[in-house]
Amino acid sequence: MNLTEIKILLDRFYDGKSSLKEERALAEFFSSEDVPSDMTDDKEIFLSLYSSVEKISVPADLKSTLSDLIDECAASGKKKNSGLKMYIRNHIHFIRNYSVAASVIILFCIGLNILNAKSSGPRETFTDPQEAYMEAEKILALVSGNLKKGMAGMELTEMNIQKVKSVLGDNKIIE
Amino acid sequence: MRLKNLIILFIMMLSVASLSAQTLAEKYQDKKGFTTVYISGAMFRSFPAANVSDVNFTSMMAGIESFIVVTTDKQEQRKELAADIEKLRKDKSYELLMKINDDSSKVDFYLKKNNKDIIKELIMIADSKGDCSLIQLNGSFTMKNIEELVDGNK
Repeated sequence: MNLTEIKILLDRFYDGKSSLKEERALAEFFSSEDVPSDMTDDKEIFLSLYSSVEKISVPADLKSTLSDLIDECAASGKKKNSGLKMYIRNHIHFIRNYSVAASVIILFCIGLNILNAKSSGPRETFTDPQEAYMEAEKILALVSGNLKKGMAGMELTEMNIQKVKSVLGDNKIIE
Repeated sequence: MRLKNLIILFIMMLSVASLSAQTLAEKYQDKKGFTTVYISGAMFRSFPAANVSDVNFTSMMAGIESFIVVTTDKQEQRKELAADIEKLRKDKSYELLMKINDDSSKVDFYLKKNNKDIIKELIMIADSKGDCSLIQLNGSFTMKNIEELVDGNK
């Protein structure tokens, strides 16, 4: 491998584009004693970087650990989702109850409105005020007569009470 | 459970509202076997002013909101009216004014007041062997108005 090729590989290495094979070729070149003096700095930099790269060991069970971690994350995600589902379900139950109650209230109001619309009040028995007057007069005369009778009865009772009181009073005097 | 109670409560409210929405006149106006008279307050206020009678209700007239008479002489219908009268008697908002018992009939007067002086309802219940009647005067009047009704145009 000539120097030009080495320099191209080195550029690729610095750019992070070099393959393992190319890096090994570079390592081989810089490990030899034929390194030109103008590349001693590059040698130092490459060897320090390359040795640290080599030191990093990938654990053998990394793949399975990662896969376990992914499964765990997925499971916790599911748990979170089920918790969310429970929360939504509870709220749906709550909302459903209250929506039924609200529907009952609305039905109640509608029913009441229908009732009120239907019962627009009793109908007038008379359309002629004169006729109505005569009927009212007749009935109120009956009311008045009965009230009079009742009051007369009350007056009579009061008179009797007075009589009893006076008799009792006389008796007291006799005693 | 709570929801069930709520529904029952609303059904009860609806039935109470439907009952209270219906006045006696409305209930009996179209029923067979009953004679009803309904005169509104507006009709009372349109009575001819020049009328002179033995009954003095001119002072009451302005306060009358409605005047209802329900009467029946049918045995079957009497039971229905008697049931409503019984409800009224048990209603504590009504106070008994007087009871008149003679050989032929029993007459009771009930009052409903909204405060010490204002009478909102005057009810006369007459029960004789032949028929049963309920007379209801709704509005706002005083005992003085009732006394004037008793005294008449002396």
